[in-house]
Amino acid sequence: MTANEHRTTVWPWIVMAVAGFHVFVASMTVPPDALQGQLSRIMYVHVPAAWLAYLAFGITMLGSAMYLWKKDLKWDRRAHASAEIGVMFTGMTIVLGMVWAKPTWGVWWTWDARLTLTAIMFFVYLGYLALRRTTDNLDMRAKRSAILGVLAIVQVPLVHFSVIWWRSLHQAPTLLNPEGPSMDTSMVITLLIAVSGFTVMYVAMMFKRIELSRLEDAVLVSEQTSSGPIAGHGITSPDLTGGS
Amino acid sequence: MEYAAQWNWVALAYGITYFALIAHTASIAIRITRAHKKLDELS
Amino acid sequence: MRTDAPSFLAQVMTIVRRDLLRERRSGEVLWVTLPFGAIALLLVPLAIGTDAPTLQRIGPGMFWVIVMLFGVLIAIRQTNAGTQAQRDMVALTGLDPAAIFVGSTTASFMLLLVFETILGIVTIVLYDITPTGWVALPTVLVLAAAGLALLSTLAASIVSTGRSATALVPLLVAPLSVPLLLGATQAWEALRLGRSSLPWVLLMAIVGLLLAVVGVLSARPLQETA
Repeated sequence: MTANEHRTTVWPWIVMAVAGFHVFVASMTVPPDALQGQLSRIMYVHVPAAWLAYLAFGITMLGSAMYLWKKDLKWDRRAHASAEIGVMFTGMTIVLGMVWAKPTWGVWWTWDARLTLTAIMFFVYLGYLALRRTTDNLDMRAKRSAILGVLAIVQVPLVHFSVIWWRSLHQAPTLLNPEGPSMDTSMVITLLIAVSGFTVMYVAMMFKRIELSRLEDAVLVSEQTSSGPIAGHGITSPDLTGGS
Repeated sequence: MEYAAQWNWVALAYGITYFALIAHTASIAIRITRAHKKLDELS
Repeated sequence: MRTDAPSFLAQVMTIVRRDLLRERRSGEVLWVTLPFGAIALLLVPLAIGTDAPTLQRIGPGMFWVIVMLFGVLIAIRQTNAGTQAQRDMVALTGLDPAAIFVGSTTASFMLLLVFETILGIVTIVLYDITPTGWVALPTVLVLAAAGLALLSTLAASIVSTGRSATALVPLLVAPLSVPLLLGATQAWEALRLGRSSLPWVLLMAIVGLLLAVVGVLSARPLQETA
């Protein structure tokens, strides 16, 4: 067949561009914080990135658990897609935190609990992604990474707890404060726009990433069933029988 | 901190953010195109 | 067929004996990993400086970091030794996968205890540490060894014989071993300052318990796919 049966969608690209543009405009036009000045603008990308890092890993856990329950590869693909996007957002959170911390605190890094936990989560899910590269057997890969996903569910709260217990300096979450947000209304609205804009971007990215996972799985399946040259045929011994 | 220096940090932060978002999206798009090509070759 | 099968405990003991026999023949832990850990403890002061107060302060922490990082190598030993053919052979014998997991973990746990003890002595000698807490300290050593053995064996069975398995297991174990590392170092810190180390000991115990549950429950599904 000429065209494969996998349809490709265009709307996620448009949605992402629109959401990204809105976040940018909103966070650039809001008045600066009285105390932190223009640096407060970094919050409008740092906080949503951190929120998405947690959301994405939550979805990975959900996908892993659902795969173990239903044994449907579609859940495995969702878990994988979310883990990859989550690693990107975690890395972004850490780097943006550094860019904010250096001019504010004078250091790139502090050993506070939430920072340390975020860095550890980054490596946990980097390991998850690395694990997925170790085998081409779809079911084996799905089961192993789902078990690692579940192991992370069990361990990450403990890591979180132990690190918090170890030390805590990070300013308490300002938005989820029970006594009401301790921020100016315009800043809260901007932050909400940024968080929802980033969430919309995450959803759109997930659609495309899951589409990609479906395609990659299809490639693997057709590679394994096709009668083409087997892997490694390029490194067979040279043919010495023919003369020339 | 003086006004201009603050904007430099903000620019750095937004540069990193949008670069990462665009780069990751582009990487997904490229991999999708490649997978489509591969599937067409294989079938 | 299942009626005259050996009991769970007997199956576990078979695996433990196999693993320890393998270690006696190869001497991988005793003659390779252990000297490697000891020389790491020797290298740190060379790089950081050899004044007594510094060494006394960093000694316990270095000990635990090296135990956690190098201890993983003790669990990987099984991935190296067990080729796919050997695994299939073990699976064909009808051993309970959970028994295999518990057995491998127990063997790693015993080897890790030896590893910790000898490295502990090296640390005491090289870093001039005075150990305190004759009840709490062994408890911490045992819990750390058990937790690390469980975590590493679980990671090794998840990775199994995939590509780059030996490199991947340490990457999976290191971040997840943070509660154990913090538990062990903070318990020691509490002992040194004369405070109760009980909360940290409990934390390590909970980590170990949860890992044991996940390990036993995932043993069968992991073997099915292998």
